[in-house]
This record gives sequence, C-alpha cells and structure tokens, in this order.
Amino acid sequence: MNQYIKLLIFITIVAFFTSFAFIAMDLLFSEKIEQNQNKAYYTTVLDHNEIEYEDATVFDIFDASININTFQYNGKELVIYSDTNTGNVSFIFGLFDESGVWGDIIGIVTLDASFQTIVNISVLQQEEQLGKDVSSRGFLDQFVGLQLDVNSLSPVIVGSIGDNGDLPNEVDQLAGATGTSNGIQNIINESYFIYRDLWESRSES
Amino acid sequence: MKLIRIRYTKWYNILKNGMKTNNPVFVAVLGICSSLAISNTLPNAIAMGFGVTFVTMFSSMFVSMFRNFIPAKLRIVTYMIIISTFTIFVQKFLQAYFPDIYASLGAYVGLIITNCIVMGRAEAFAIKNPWKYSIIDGFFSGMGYTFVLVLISIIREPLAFGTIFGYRIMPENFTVWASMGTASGAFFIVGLMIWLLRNWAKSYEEA
Repeated sequence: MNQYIKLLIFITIVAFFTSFAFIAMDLLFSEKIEQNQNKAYYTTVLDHNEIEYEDATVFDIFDASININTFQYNGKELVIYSDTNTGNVSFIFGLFDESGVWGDIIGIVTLDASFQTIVNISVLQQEEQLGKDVSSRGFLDQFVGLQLDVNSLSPVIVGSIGDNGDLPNEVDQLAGATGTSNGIQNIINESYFIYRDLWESRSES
Repeated sequence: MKLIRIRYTKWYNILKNGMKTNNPVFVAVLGICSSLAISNTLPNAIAMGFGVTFVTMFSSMFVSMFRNFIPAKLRIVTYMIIISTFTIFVQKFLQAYFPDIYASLGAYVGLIITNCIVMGRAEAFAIKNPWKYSIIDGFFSGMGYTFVLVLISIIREPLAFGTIFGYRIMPENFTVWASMGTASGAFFIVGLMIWLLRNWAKSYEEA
C-alpha cells in the first residue's frame, strides 16, 4: 500500500512540473507563433493582390492597403481581408467541418469584389499523402480566373463532370488523389458560402 | 603525452562511442524513420539533428538527476514525459523562430518523442550514470545522429534538387533524380552510408 502511495505522489509531482513547463513554454512562445501565423496570412493576401512588400515592412504595408473585417460565426472570430484599392476580398478556408483525407487543408482564397471570380488561391497547411500536390502552384494556378457558379451547391468543381469537363467553374483533379480533390472542393465550397453570407450581412447592416 | 591521456578519459570515450563506435544511425540503426524522411535537404537535416541533440542531452540530464527518485515500475513512462516535454519545447521554438524549417519538417519534429535514440540513451546510460556524463553522452549521441544525417543530405539534396542550402550547384541542364527526394532514394543512400561508415569504424557483426 505504501508503495502505491509513493507512486501516486511521484505521478502528482511529475504532473505538476510538466504542467508548469507547458504553461511557461506557452507564455514564452505563443506571441511569436501567432505573429508568424499572421505574417504568413498577410504575405499571402499581399501576394494575391500583387502588392509589393519587403520582409521588414509586411505589417506596415498590410495595414496601409488591406482592411480587416471581423465577423462572429458559431462562436469563432472569422476575418475577411479586403483590398482598399481593388475591393478584392480574401478569406481563410479550411476552418470548418470539411477536411482533406489526412487532416485539415488550410489556405487563403482571394476573390474579386463581386465575390464571383477567383483572383488567386494558396494552401498554407496540409497533411495529405497521395494528394500532397494540393499545395503546388501547378494545381492551384488552375483556379486563377475561375468563374464560380454562385447559384449551384458546388460553386467550384474539382474533377470533370459531364462530357467535356470544360465548365467555367471546373478544374482538373489531382492525379491519383480523388479523396484530396473532393476534400479541397468541399472545403472551398463550404467556406465560400459561409464567408459570402457574412460579407453580405455586413453590406445589409 | 597529454593527447594519449585524453584517450583514457571518460568523456573522450563517450564522444567516441556516440560518434563512431556506437553511432546511433550506422551502428545501432536507430532513428532511421526520421533519417529517411527529413534528410532530403541540408537545412532540414541540421535542424532535425540539433533538435534531437537538444532533446537527448536534456532528457538524459533530467533522467540522470532524478534517477534515484524514479520508481522502477514507472521508469519508461517517466522517460516519455521528460522526453515529450523537451520535444514540445523544440517544436514551439522552431515554430516561433524558424517557421519555414518547422513547416518543412512537418510531423517529424513531434515524432522526436518516439526517436529510439533518445529513449535508448536514457535507458542505457543516463539511468546509471551521473548527470554531467549523461549530458555529454546525450550531446555526442545526438551529434552522431546529426553527422550521419548531414552526410546523407549532402548527397541527397544536390541529386534531388540540384542545390545545397537552396543554392544551385548542379549545372542548369542537370536532370534531378526525383527518387532521391523520396524515402526510397534515402533507403539506398542510408544503406550505402551504413556500409561505408561501418567499414571506416571497423564495426563488423560476427556471423
């Protein structure tokens, strides 16, 4: 019995010290990690809008040329970035229910001011195996200039449907990665509807 | 005379053991999973090597410092907790200060927890030795791993991407060996390395 009490005390002490270590690490690094994440988002939005910047000036140029519009959605704070010159809007996709085969696929898509044409798209985080090319420019460049079918349940289609496979809202799927192709299609479509509704609610209010 | 004496010091033997005689990769064949996965470029290899070295050093030091208090029944669990704490530290440090390297290493930084070298040194050395030798043992075991990783990546990066540290060194018309960027190409290089380095270290297994 004495032995078990000793084990219990030992486990409690270890748990206490490791918890303390994790809290300390969080305090030490969380601000810098968040800053890096914002920098990744900001540089992507600037790139999509073809705004020039240098590494040291990312935050200043972003503040001067992009508006940050925040919205509440199911307890989450969502952001739509809008270019003050062109009116292009950018949002982060992949934060909701849909995901890739192996994990989340998170990125930024930029649309024109009418919310109907893709200006550019980037994938910033993904864990796909067969579909790892989901973040490659070769795949993503297909989306540039794509006209979304905003009245359909699937504004973007990844993979051919119909006979010709040449619909204006359609791109080729990733070879050998049907699951990832379906995943990115569903992620973009799901995010599109959510952000479009939020953006329209802003115009109404 | 002094040089001859150094050969009989404990720290020199620990150094030789970690780097050559009992090198974790080419003699003990430990940590192979991450060696194959992240030795495709030199920056990845160096970052991973330093990460494993840091975790091995400090987890060995802590295991050694508290070895008289760690209950035998909870030995392995305690190692895991200590190792995971330092691994998470490395993970957060890279995420905060080297985000590009963190992104390219992907899940493998977190998988330092499962690297057999770290656990192996804790169980084989740190639990039986004072902390000052354990930290040296952890350092040289980690550096032994880093040394092999760097050698592999020096071969793989030019062949797979035509570059070293991201700078192009191969001729413009050089056709890259795509397989060298994948685990299958790494297997080939690791096999060759094990053969060459075992010959250099005269480390032969008895038939």
